[in-house]
Amino acid sequence: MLRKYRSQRSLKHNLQLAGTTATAAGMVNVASVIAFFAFTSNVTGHMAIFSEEIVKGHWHQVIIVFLWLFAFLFGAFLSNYILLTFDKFNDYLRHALPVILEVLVLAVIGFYGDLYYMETLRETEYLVLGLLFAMGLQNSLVATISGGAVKTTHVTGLFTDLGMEISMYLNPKFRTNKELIDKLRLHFVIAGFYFSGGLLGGFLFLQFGFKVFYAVCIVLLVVLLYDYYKLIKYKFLRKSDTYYKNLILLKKGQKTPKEKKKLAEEIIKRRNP
Amino acid sequence: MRSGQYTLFLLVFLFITSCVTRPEDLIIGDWNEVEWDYEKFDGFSPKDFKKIDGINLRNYSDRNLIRHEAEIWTFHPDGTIELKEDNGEVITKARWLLKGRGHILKIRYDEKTFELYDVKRLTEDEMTLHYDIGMEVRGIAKLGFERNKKEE
Repeated sequence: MLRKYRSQRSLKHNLQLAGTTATAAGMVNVASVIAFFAFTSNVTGHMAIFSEEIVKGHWHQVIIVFLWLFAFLFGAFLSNYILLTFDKFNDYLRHALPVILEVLVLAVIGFYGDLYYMETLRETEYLVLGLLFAMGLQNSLVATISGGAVKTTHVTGLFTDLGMEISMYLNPKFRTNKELIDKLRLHFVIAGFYFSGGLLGGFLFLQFGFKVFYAVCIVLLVVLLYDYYKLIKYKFLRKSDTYYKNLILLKKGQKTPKEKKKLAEEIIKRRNP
Repeated sequence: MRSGQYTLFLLVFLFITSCVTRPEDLIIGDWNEVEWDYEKFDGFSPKDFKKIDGINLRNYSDRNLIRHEAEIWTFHPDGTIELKEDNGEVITKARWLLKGRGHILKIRYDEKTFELYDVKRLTEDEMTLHYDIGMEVRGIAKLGFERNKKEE
């Protein structure tokens, strides 16, 4: 889910990333609506509220909504900044850093909410700020590594795309278009998992309160550990595969011309099965 | 933008922040109820509505609407609220909480009984609450208050 970048990604990679992160976003959004009466995985509503509060002259609310919008923006900025700055790291580590940061933020919010939250307005404002920051981190990361194909918290855009794609699918000219079908599948998966995440988040919050944020952390840890497991598996397979052993020896210049020729044939065979 | 402009922006922002009164502070004090307006309801089935003060009021099965008979609502800084009659006699005590960006007033009577209001207007002199039935739904009752300055 996290190892591959943009054009290297297959539909399967995007479906897995979309399903897990949309679930996390849906859970966070509904839990925050129940706990704080504020949406945290979308900023469209906050933008409208920002204008409304300015018009009404509610200056405290104007400042708070401005800070919330800024927190989402800063999360998105930081996520992409990490991807651009740590370009010497391997792709997995680079892509995992924003997710690790998001897990930390959500775990702190869950811990504080569970044990110390007194329901004051100031606490509510800061906790919503933290959640918006976490969602900004996540949305920016998945959008960047999927080349814009996956945006787990952008439901307005998702429904616009779905509307357009369904209209195209109903036209016989495009019905067999694989690219269109893949996009439709991906967008239905995002919508479905975002909705189910919302249901799950709401149910868990009503049952267990702020511990629901630990459940979101578990979903995100699955994303992290799934790819880590794959990395370890491939590393192990590579170490035990004679083909890769031979490649290393070739790099070190420890192969005869005959062996080099044989290996070159095997490389071509593997690349074009 | 240069660093000077950033600093100026930050200073203006901090100045505005320091000048603004927080809703939690603004709400403290005595408020006199001056109006109750009900949402118009066009239902005809007797199951769907009940009559209060000669006005059809819709029933929401998941919540019990408490019809306040209090004239004065006193918000204390310690998070308690007293609902009083005009002569000052306390009818009910509860806990008040502001949620969201300060736009939701929660009045909690005990662990299971609470009411939610949308704070539509909150100034030094006036407060307007809408009884809340959901995030995106208009309130079924509008309560208007004026600050009781005699008490202060």
